Amino acid sequence: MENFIDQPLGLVSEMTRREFVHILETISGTKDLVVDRTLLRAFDRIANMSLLKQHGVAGVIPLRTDGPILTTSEAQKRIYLVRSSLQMAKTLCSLIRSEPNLSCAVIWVDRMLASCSKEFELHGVSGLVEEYDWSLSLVTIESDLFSLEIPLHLSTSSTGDIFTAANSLWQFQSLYGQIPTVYGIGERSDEVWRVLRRLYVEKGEPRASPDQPVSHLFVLDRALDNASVFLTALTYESMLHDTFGISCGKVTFSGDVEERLKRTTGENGINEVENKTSKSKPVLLDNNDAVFSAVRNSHMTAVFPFLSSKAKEIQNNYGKGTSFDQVSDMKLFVSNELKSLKLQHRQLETHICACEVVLERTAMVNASERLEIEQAIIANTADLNTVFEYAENCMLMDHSPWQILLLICLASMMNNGLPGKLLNSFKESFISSYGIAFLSVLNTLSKKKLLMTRSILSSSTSLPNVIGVQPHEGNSTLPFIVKRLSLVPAATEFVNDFKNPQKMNYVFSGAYTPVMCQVVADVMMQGFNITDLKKTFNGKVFVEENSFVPAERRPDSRMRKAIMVFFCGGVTYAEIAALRLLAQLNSFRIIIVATNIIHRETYIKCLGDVSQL
Amino acid sequence: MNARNQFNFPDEEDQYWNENGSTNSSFFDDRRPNELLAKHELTRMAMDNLFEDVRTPCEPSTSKQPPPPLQSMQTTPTWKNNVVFTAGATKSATTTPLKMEAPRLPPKAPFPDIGLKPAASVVSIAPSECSVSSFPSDAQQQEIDYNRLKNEHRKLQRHFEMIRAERYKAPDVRETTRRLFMNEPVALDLYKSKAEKLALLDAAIEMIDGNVILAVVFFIQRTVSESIFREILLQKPKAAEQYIQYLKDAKNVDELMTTMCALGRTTEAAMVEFNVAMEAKTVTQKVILLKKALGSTFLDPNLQMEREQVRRYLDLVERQTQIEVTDSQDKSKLFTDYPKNASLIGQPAIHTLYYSCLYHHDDPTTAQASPQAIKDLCHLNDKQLTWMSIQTLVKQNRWLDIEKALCPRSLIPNLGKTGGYLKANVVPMVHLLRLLHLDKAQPPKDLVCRLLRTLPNMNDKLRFAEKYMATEVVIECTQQQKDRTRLEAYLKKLTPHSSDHYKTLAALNNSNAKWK
Repeated sequence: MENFIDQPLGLVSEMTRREFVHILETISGTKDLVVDRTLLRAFDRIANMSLLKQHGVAGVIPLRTDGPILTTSEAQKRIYLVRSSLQMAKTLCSLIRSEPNLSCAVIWVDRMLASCSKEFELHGVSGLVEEYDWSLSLVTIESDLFSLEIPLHLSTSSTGDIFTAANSLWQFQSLYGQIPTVYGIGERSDEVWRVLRRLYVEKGEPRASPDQPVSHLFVLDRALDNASVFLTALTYESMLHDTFGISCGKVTFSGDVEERLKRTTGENGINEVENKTSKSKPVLLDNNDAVFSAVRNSHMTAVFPFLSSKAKEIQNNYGKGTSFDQVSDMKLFVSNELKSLKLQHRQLETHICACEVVLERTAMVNASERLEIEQAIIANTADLNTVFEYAENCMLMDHSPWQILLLICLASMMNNGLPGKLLNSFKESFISSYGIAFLSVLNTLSKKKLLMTRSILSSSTSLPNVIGVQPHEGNSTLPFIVKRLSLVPAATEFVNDFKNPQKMNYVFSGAYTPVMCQVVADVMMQGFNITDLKKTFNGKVFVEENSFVPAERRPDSRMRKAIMVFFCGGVTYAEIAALRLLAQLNSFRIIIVATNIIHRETYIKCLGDVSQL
Repeated sequence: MNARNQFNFPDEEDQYWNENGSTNSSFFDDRRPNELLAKHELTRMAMDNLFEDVRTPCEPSTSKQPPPPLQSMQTTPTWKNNVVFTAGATKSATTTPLKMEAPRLPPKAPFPDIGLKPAASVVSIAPSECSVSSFPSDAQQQEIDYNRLKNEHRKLQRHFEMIRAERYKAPDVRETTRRLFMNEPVALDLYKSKAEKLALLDAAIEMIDGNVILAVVFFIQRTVSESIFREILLQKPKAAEQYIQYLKDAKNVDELMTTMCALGRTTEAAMVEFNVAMEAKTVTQKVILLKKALGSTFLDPNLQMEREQVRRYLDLVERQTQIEVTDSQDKSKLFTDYPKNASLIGQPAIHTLYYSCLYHHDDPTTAQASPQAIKDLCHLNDKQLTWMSIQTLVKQNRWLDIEKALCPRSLIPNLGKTGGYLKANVVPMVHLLRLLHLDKAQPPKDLVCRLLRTLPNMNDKLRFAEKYMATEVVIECTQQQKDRTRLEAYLKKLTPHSSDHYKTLAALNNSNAKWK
């Protein structure tokens, strides 16, 4: 197993792994490890099979709720590794009670919850099992990207992920030293910080350390910027995520990609057997994949040109192989370059196929029309009748209901609500098309003010020239934030060069800069202005100074320290790409930490409080 | 002391004895027993003194035999066993008194009047100053030591008594919530009064952590009557939120709805009832549950739209059931050509319309299954009707009927004459053309051309014509725009020797046409 310590923030992973080994050693005998499906991939990043075997694990089995768990025969004990939730506690209760003679242990990820303990007590399971708490903490996705991998529905509910987020920040600081300057924006960020303070009291306050790799921390609240999720982002990674769903840095391509791959590799005569083994196997997407690392943050329009030029390059290199006169040259070529060429070739093929499928699917749902409408909405130039007509056509074509909701919610937020007549007719058609079951989703979205009727009062203020009016209570409206932070470029400065992007808004084809990224950029340029930000967001903003450097001063890239951006409630790949560009343009190092990486459709489902649909 | 002085060597030559004398015990063998005896006596005395003094305040009824000093220590195990924390006692049983005084205790310790430092100093002083070897150094020093020991012992004794007395008293709410936060066992049952419970809940809310709040909410729910519990939830929205989230997770529907209604969140309660109805396995059950909901939670005036939608759904299901019954006996060719793969009952309105368009397109408009009737029942619009009819008619290649569907009713008699009367504007052209070519359908070229000619915008017309290979329109447009290159490019896309190919070639070779 690779050594974590040399990796960025590797100590955190190392400690997580050691803590797990410690728990394994505490539980005597050989054991089977039954792992919660939502934890499998993240867990795989922490511990591999050989390590587990060394510590008495006979087998790792995914937790099934639909049938009996097949275990290895030699194991004396069974350990359940689960993310603590009431649902999971119920499952465990029935599992444990169905096999009363089996000695069991439960490792709760993050911690045992009151509701779980109540459930155990109710079913007489308390005391039958050994219980341990283990925090998964920061899972390394990429050298600059860490995720807590909390399921989205937990982080959008009120019980939330606050403790987990705070605990991970405490763990990080206890290993690397206190972060000198902390900025926080939003209600949830504030809560995380208050829980973190509590942890300081209980577990000890981290000391300042000169080796601390992070100089500034931003704690940001997802709830302040839903628009970045509702808009369709056009970076390659983001589109892959929308189409196939990347989980924990891995993607499982759908059948059509696999088929294409098979066809092309068949033509090119690459080993069929090799290909078969990789079929339906998740593909790891990270910077070790040279092709992917080059295009992951590129705008979709720049991806194909790159891929084709790369293809030519590889072809030339292959061609080199035929032009050798000397046998020794040939030998050198085969031993040195051929392997990496073949690898690149395969990577290139994978991405070309994936890219084709992504484009095909987006073409199928008229994505270009949708993009135009989205851009018009965010620029506040959209005719709402056009928007609703588009939505109606989508419904008649039986497109994904969630994509339609994303669009209409965006329109509602940007216009401070929608005209009642239009909205009602939309709701009626929506239910006619997708069924009565969506009634509660629409209701929930309305309740959360994501889909609301424009009040007479606000309709007068939504005229383009007076959108800067600040509501008296509640968080700022989207148009207000857009105006304050100038997130939408004026028509004159609209740039279309996405091959060498110079602005973060390239992720949305130049139409919009994600709020959080703009905040980080502003602080980077001008320093932290607490009164300004308070006015912008009309909510909680805090700053903490743990060093002699005044917090208002802007970060200095010459210090060679990283800026950590912590997203409570999840981050999108578009924001990640934007922050990466920001880091690159200003030669900063930005470490992105999030409670999870958002999948847009899942996000709107969670907002609509969907459990069954 | 005198004995020692006896052996003081005043002579300079012998003085080294003075320095080494005390350590070299062999010289003073005769003195040792004496000294030891003295030590013993002194210690004994001191100890007796100490314990007798201390015993008086806490045990007024003095027993004759003073207990040996160790006894007080021996009582600790029983003390340990006596402590029964009602909630989750497993971990706490191991807590020893010494641990209670561990320096980990936060500054806000429950007993601020008892200094914790002395406890620690007992440990540090004992081996150094009071060790037996250094004992008989100075009488005064001894005195001080004894007093100090005595005081410390007294304090500890008092502290211990207090803990003993208070073990069943509720600890400070902050201490309890702190322990909950750290997942340590606590005894919540000691908070008896409502004020105490509220204080505990407040402290929990201050912790922010939802888990702590929920633990306290569980306790309060368990120990107070329902009405008081609801009253508390009303006062503490944060607690209510946690509780509702828990009930949602637990799928405890009855309690969830009661709680929501009690909190005045009736629309949410209605949605809960609605969702429960939606989860029912069969449509019949759904209908029963929805009817029940309409009579209860859906009466909320804010739910007008929702109520209307549910009513429409119920009507639709009724109609669907009737259609399903009639159609199951229908053995017409349509049902064998396009076999049904699912039951109609419970499908959304649009699907029902599609079904009706497919199987009942030719029914009289008054028939219950006809498209028009479904459209009226579900309050659908013309666009939806036209769209669905076209989609189904294309499937059956009924091109003439498509023209009828696209044609305003008043103009039907004129059908067949070419012209721009088709009301293509209901369904946008781009979608209409796509629908006509759905599933590789081959619409008559004439129809496509006529549709295209209705388009006002030349560029759109040409673009669509090229896409759908409407050669006539392409030729017309290119000739109008005098764009020969475009027509030549179009020619290349056509299959050679097809009629379109010849037509295009002829247009290109036409000497009458003027090109740029």
